[in-house]
Amino acid sequence: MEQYTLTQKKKSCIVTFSGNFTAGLVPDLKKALLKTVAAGVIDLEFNLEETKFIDSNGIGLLVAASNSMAQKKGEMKVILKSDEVARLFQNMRLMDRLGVVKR
Amino acid sequence: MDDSLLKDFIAESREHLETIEADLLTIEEAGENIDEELVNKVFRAAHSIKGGSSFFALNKIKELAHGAETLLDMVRSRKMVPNAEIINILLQAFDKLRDMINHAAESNETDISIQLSSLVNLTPVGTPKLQKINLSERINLTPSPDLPVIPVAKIDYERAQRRASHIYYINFDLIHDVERNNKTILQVFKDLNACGEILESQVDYDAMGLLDGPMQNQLPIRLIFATVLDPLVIGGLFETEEKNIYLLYAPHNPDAENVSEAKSEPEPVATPSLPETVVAAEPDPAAESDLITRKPDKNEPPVATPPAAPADSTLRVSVSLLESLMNLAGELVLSRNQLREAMQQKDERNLVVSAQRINLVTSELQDTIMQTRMQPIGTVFGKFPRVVRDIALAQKKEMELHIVGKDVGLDKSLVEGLSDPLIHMIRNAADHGVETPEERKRAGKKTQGTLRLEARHEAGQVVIEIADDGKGIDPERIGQSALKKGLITPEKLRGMSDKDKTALIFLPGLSTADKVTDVSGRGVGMDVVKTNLDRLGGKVEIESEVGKGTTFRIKLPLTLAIIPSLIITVEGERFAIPQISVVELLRIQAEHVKKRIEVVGNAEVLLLRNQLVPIVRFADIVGILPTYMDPRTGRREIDRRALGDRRSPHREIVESAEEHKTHEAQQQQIQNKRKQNGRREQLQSDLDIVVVTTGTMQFGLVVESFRNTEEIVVKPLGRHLKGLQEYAGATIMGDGKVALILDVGGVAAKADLAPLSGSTRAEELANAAEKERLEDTHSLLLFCNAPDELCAIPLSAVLRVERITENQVETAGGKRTMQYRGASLPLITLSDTASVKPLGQGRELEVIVSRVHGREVGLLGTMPVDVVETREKIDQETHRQTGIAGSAIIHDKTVLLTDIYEMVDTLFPDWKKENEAAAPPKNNNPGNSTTVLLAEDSDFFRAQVKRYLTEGGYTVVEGEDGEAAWEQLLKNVDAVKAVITDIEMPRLTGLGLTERIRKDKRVASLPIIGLTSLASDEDVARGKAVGIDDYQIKLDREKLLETLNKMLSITEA
Repeated sequence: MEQYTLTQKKKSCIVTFSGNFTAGLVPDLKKALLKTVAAGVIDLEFNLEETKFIDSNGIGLLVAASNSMAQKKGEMKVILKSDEVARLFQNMRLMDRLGVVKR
Repeated sequence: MDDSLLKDFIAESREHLETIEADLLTIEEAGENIDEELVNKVFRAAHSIKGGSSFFALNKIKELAHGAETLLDMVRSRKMVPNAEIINILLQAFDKLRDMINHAAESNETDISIQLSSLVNLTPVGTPKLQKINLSERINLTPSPDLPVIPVAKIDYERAQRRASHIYYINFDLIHDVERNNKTILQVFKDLNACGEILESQVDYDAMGLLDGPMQNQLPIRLIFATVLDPLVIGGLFETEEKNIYLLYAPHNPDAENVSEAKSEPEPVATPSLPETVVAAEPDPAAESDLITRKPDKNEPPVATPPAAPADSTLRVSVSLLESLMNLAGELVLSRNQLREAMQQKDERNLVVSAQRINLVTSELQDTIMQTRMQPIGTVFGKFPRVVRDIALAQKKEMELHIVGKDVGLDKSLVEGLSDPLIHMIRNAADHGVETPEERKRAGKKTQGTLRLEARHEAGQVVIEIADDGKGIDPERIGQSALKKGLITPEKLRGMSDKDKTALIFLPGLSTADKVTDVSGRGVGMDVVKTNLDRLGGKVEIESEVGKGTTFRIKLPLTLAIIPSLIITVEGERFAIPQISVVELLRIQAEHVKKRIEVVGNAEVLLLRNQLVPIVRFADIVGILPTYMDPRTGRREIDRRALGDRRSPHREIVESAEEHKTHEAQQQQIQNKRKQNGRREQLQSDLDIVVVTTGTMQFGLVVESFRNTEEIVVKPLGRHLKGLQEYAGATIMGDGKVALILDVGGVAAKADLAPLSGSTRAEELANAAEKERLEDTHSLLLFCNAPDELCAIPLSAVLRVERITENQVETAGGKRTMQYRGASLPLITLSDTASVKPLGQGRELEVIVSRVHGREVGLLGTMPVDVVETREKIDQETHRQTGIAGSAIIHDKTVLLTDIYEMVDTLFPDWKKENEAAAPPKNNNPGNSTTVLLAEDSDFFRAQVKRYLTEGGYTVVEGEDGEAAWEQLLKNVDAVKAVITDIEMPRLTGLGLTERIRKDKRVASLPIIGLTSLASDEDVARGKAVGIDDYQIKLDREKLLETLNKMLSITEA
């Protein structure tokens, strides 16, 4: 079961995924993120250390989140562990845009 | 990440890097006359590394490869002339790449800023001022003004063009064109990377909206993609419509066209929005540094952390070799079936045939598999021209490197393991061995030093020599350095030969400071070299001569997997000693054990050809108790006699008084029993010794018995035995039992052996050996005068020995003669000139025929006749009489040494006069007033030779050694016309004296005759090399005088 947890601390929010990040998670997560942003969050961190697969919808959400943070002059960070996912982000030249950190 | 893919990449990159050094050096040599194919080859290597590293997200490797590639591209396009500086920087860049590839896991943490900035800063050096290319320069690409522009690094774009790639602008949607067609985006990008290179990509961020916007059911992306795939097949990678794929560049049709419109109306679409070529008058450091030396942004990931691949994880094997292996595997299966059938049928004949067939196939299989692991050593040697070149440039030396035997094959693991030690040794030879041109000029050498690196097969081993014609290693200074550092004791140093002292450079700690370079002329870390070579089962020897050069000789097995070994046994246990470590096998008979084995301190040494070789009793080292066969029980019992009558090392046995008494009583019982039973119950006391070498030291290993030599398969030791330094591994013998393989270095270490024992006793023995060396060996013919009167005559004075009967002796006119070869042979006996007993009656007679003053004479003696070689001192006083030159104790008996010349001169005084009269006058007999210098340390020989010379009419000036003779020569410079010298003498040898004479203009032209007891060809060659004109056997008066006369006649003439 694909899952995530969302932890908010003041203006920061960390979304931690326990598995793959695919289209099934996107609608709910988008709503949850919208709430946190509305609550004043301007620093978003997506922890994808347990994620070995991400699809276009997942990436689309990350780009949208990044666009929102840029608009609010906030920061965004994506933490990765999977080599494959990292290589995908690199091929798509998303590393800088999404603030990707490889662990 | 797919580990196997990464390993392939690493192996392939290593292969590329292997030849790059040599190629770059060739490119440098060619200078302006660029060999395009070669530059392309290096370029392709850099490009492949870049491509692969990009795939694995090894960003630093990619960046550096990219920098090198850029520079090479400029060389290739003749924008740069590859001079030494450019090649240096490229070499450094490839060094760094090699290092990062070998440690791929950590490569993203590596600081490459120095190499990168060197690559960038280099540009003005090799190019005209205005042609510096900005590496960050970009061109904006779009197939149509309606489509977004994608900026791409110009250098990447041009490179792709030169690679004959098609370059596409692809506009597609990852959701609609990929996922809805049941593909994953991961797979699509994997395919793209496999088929080409993504030069740039651009996600349409705006199309994705914001979090508070509507859900976006799209992910548009645009790529600039370079690939060999042509427009007809590129669509297969995506499910997108053809109209979304634009061809920007095609190798044979530079006019770009839209794939979708290719069949209709081609339309040029590549519209760089910046000038095609951007040429900057001044470099833009900011831009360059941004691209080239950019520090990673804090958010930029270090990306991949793949595991480092082990050095020998992959191997390329030719298909034909694999086919041979397959054939042999098939043969093996057939043989197995044949064997199985023969066993079922109990068909003995077929069993034998099967065994033979399996033997044959196994041997072939072994050879073929070995071939798969064989690599030419040239892969290692290829690095050294660069090493030598770099050192020569840095130290302003002139050096040439000769490489011989690049094709010699060696096991892959050995080739890899050899790299570091060889680099170290070559570097040392170039750095410390070869002198500067000025130093060489002063030393009378040509200014260009020579290094020789040679590999060859020799007796089933590979021998590698690293030789230089430099300053050599001074053993004295090495010894003093080791002494100062407390690595050896003064006593030990005193007992060491030059070779042992030179071998001290392998001691850890000797060569860790610059001082060592000053002292020894050799660099650091030779102990590490030795350790590495030991690990490879290799041995290293040094030959060095101060002022002339040094040769390191490494001997290696062909492979570490299967090695020829000597099988020995100790108490029934079998052990294998690698053949490469075995020097010789000795069996010392029981009666010689006491004579040949000495006890020095608490250790034993073997006297082997005047050298002291430490001995290790292998059973003691591994703690095997000695046993013996008890004839009463027929069983093997533990022997408590500590090897009986052998000289055992001193053992500190702590016994109580009671135990001591008991022990003594037991020993007494044993001795008594031995007396009763003779040697039947004694231990078999012959000693079997394997003399082994660690490369720098030899020692004898006492074993129970030698078996055979065989090829053994090396198996690693189990965990529980790994800590035992005396074993290198184990093997399984033909009978299925395990035999341990000895590590002779480990055995030496466990026995705490030093190259030479430094104790006083060892020194005494060494001195004794030296004394023995200096003593002359006399070859004598023994015979009897009266039955109890043993006599001898120098063998050199004997022509023949004839056995006659008393009846053959005729006496006429008071003269004794016999008919001999158609003439009358005068016969003499010792009693004719000396007061000795007469020969006696009724005995078998021997006639010893000699030639004196040109005539033959027979000396009568009786049986037994024997020939001995003795070093016994000759007493020239006690028994001196006319015809008796002196006496010696041989075989515990006094032997009278006859002087046949003196006897003849006494009995036939006319012979001498007649001989002189018959000789051509004056010129051929310059005796009389001529002065001759005689150097001889043996009183007896000096007196004898002096007498011969005096009788020959010469005036003799004598010296009791080389030094004394030299002093005499200086005092009589004008008088001395010839020199006769012994070879082995204390203080200054005959060779040393000769060298000194030849170097002094006043006496350099004197004829010199070397005197020797028995000269080998080698001795003669050594003498001739330093300037000895002729060799003569001592006490052969006739020949000595004849030669001397002849030489002086020539000189006078």
